Formats: sequence, C-alpha cells, structure tokens
Amino acid sequence: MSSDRWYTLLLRAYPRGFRAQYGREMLLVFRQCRRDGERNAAGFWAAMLWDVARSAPALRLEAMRAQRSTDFHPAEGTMKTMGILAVLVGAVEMINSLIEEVAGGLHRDGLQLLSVVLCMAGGVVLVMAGIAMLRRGPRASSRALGAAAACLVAFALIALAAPVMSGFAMLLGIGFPIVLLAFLFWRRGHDGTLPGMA
Amino acid sequence: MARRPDDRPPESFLPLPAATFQILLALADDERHGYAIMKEVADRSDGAVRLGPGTLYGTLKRLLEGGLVEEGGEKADPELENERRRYYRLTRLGLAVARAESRRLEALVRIARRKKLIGLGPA
Repeated sequence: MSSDRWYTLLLRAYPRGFRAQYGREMLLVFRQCRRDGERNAAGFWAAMLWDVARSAPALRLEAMRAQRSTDFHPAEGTMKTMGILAVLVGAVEMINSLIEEVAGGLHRDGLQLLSVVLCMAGGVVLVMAGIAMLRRGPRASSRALGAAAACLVAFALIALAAPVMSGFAMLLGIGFPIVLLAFLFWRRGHDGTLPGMA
Repeated sequence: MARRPDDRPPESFLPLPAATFQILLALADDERHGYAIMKEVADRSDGAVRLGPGTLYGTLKRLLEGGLVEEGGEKADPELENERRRYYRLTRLGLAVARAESRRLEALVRIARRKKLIGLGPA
C-alpha cells in the first residue's frame, strides 16, 4: 500500500467534518513532508503517528461538543422519555386487561367485559402514541394528544361502569394520560407549536 | 447575546498556545498555505518546532473560527503538479492578538533579564 493510502487511513482518526474540510490539504502537506523530510521512514511515520495521536482526540471532542450543542433540545429529550413511558404504561395496561380477563373467567357480566375491552383499547392507543412520539413523525404530538384523551375517556368509563381493574391499573390509566396532556401543553409553550399542529 | 470574535479584546485570547503563536508569527508578514507555514516555523526555530499536519490544520481551524485568520483563496502550486492550495492570512484581530502576545512575552523577557536569568553571556 502506498504511503498516501496509509496516511488516508490515519486521517480517519479525525472527525468527518474536519476531514471533509482539511483532509485534502493535509494529504498535500503529508506528501511534501514525505518528499522533503527526513529519510528515516520509521522516524517520519513515528512523527506522523504522534501528530495524529496528539491532535485527533481534541478535535473529536470539539466536534462532539459542537454536535451536542446543536442537537440538544430539552423538549425533544423529554418527548423521547414520554414516548418510552407511554409504551411501557400501554403495555402494562394491555397485560393487566388480559390478566383480568383470565381471572374473571366466564362469570362476568357485559359491563365487566366492556371494562376489560376498554382497558385493552386504552393500552393499545398508549403504545401507538408512544411509538409515534419515539419516531418523531410530523403528527406525533397530535397523535399523542388524541391517544391521551382517548385513554383518559376509556378509564373514566371503566371507573363509572364497572371498576373491576386494580387500583394500580386505574391510577396509571387515568394519571398517565393527564401527565401526558400536561407535557404536550408544556411543550407547546416551549417550542411554540400547538399539540394538534406539530 | 453571543459576542462576535471581533468584539473580544485581543488580550482575552492570551496566553496563546505555542503552536498558535507560531502560526500567527508565520502569517504576520504574508499569506501562506499550510506547508509554507510549517516550513516557516521549522526554519525559524532551526527545526526545534515542527508542526505536524494534524496540529497545523487543527490550530488553523480554531483560528478561523475565532476570526484570527481568514482564507485568502486558492492558488495552483507548480511544486505539486498545479494542485490547488488554500492560502491563509491574518485578520486585523489576528494581528492585534499576535502583537498583544508579543508584548506579553517581551514583558516576561524583561523580567527574566532584570533577574539576570538571561543576557549575561553564555549560560
């Protein structure tokens, strides 16, 4: 392999943006150093390796800091966290409705069956809302808003019709949609987008 | 509100890292491309200071971002089969910073001389 190829490989230690801007120039300088520099190849390559080892980590760190400062939006980070929570709470509600269904067996009336179905439906919409929030699609906020409202209505109906679900399931089913709604309205104030229009 | 580099007083950049001051010195009298800066620094220091390509361009990048150096365009280099090379030159701020660092070092040398650390013949 030619010395140019070896040096091009060494350049990979630098951040991509830096390589794009200065890689060609650095290769030209390297060629001239190779041509005009010391004859001892081992000494020359040791100097080049030392130069890369000394300069590349600092440039990588700078690039990471710059990337983080441009990427970091507090509302985005919280959106992801809320998305994960929505998936988890939705999954818990779905599992809970299955457990209730199995525990109730055949001895349940129509209202109790409706409660189980509503709990399952609430869980499904929360999981779908969570996935939409994690994928950060153009209508993620409006979907999350709709899901939170639907889940809240479902659990309010369960509480009114036939409260067969456990206290924990009811607390999650009513509490989490309220938290999600509060978050979506906070986010509207943060980035100026209406929940239904994000 | 973020301050533009030009708004910063030159003294706020001091003390300069050695490689940074060497590059500013190399560009003080003329615009140069990367290898010419490297050669100038090595020749001026009798080979004691050698900037590798990574150190050179890493420092140039920071100087460009700080507004101390600007690109002076590209020219074909006959020494390298007419490859186009990017030239760099000092900005007004860069010149002011180089002067401020020179004054700072001069003051230090004056103290060293007063304390008879230097200037008494061979050590």
